[in-house]
Amino acid sequence: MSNLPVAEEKIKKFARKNGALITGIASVSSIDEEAPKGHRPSEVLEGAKSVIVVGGGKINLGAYKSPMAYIPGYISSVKVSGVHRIAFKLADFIEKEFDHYAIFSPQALSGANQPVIDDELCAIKAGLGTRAIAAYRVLNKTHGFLNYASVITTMPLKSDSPIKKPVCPAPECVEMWEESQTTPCLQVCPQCLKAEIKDGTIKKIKFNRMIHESRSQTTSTSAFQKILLEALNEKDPEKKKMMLLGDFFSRTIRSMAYNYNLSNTTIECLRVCPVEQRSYSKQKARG
Amino acid sequence: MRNPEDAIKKWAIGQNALVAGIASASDIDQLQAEGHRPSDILPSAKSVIVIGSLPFAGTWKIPDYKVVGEVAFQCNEELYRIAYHMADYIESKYGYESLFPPPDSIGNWSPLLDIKRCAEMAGLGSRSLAGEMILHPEYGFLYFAITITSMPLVPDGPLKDPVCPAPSCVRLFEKIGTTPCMNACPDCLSGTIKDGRIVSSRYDRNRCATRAQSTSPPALQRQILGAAEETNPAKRKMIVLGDYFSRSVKSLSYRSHLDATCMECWRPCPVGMKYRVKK
Repeated sequence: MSNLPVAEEKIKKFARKNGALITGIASVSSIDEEAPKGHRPSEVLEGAKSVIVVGGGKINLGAYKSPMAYIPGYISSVKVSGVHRIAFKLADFIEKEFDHYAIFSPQALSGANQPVIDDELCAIKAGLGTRAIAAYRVLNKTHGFLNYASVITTMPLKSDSPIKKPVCPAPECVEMWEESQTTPCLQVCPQCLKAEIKDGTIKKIKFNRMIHESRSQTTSTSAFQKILLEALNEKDPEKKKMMLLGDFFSRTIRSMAYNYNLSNTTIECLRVCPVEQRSYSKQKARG
Repeated sequence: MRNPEDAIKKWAIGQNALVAGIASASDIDQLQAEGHRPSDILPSAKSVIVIGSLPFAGTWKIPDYKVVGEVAFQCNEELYRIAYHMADYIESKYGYESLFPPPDSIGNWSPLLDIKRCAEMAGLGSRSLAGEMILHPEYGFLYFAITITSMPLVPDGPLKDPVCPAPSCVRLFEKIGTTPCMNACPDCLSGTIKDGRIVSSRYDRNRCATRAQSTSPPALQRQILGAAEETNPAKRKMIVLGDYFSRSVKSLSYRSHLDATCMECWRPCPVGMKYRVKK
């Protein structure tokens, strides 16, 4: 076990070199404890010991400034692929360099909207951030909201500790809550998000994914299924034709074909987060 | 120290783009319809950087036209990757807002931003008789991708002299009233040349799509409609489980054969021919 700290450093260095902004390591057992049955790393890879999580793919500031609601979501989907690529390379590196089994965490969904592995739970366990009120996403103190991907391996590695002091709510959000019982994210989307803050920490949090999806994922695979069902049920042949050859159905099919705008097509609750905004301040982007 | 225009172009070429040019966002704004302007996508837009590259020369030796489209499509994807990294590069190095706009369509066949227009305005070529594609003076037809930025950059501006028609095409038109591209696809293309310049040009995009994009998303929509309208259960089963529907669904799943799978009007163009020929 004496060479493990060197191994961890090598792994993190490799991830950084390939574009990860942050990297953390979690033990499989810590994730297994919280993940529901069928979604545990040990169920995906027999003998799994560690999960390495890479975070990156931050949306361009230019995308945030676009008034077209779907642009940040589109850029985000492109960036997600980049983070997956880092994890893919990392799994390959671990197998070749350390001779342990390693797999890139599957991105497929088991059933509707249920990821096989919750990469964000892995990120929390790997000490990369804590849950935010905004869409229940993981918030990193320095980098704000990032995209995450994981590598599951049989290699025993020293885990990073989860962050003790939650990043969300930020001090200004606590102040705002005390004054008006809301936060920037809750205010921007009161239908999807609900929360309660007490003594500066989140006491209750609710993210209504179903409402969110029907509003912000209008060209997702689920939207395609819905339109198809409606079109098949339509009795009027002309209306049916309009539905199946119309712009909306065309956009959903194109989204699937080109892998664009399939998931989040609005990130309004992330945009207003003060931690997220601070993460761009170093960039001093000029408009 | 090198100026930022040169530095950005050099960065793009270092990432494997073949050419790079800069257009003024406000110049493009003036020519585009509302909702399709760089400033509609990024309100602070000042410049549009356009990069281009060629498909592999080997693409032209593939006898199966479907595979031609597939291989070329992958070259396009690589170019998109460079463009979105360029947005990161400009934001981190120069601190100006930048983004890679989605290259897909809004609704049927209406791209969010006309990439060809941007390439023209960045001096990377001019419209051709071949499907109105942009013809680069040296390399011929290229694929393009763009990055929009709030960074003020000196634009290259459009070319002074059009690249199409090439001198040999002018001579051919004077002799027999056609050009290599129009000869290859007289149904989709037509045009007239006078005094060595294009006087009229027509590209029937809808006809091209039905012939060259037979496994594209609209083709699948047509087949779904056909299956939905079919009242005979056995025929419907044949439509949905048949080869053609299977190929369309597979195209969608594996992102292959979605776009142009023909490119025959591109093949005989004399401009840039030397880059399409290898040993």
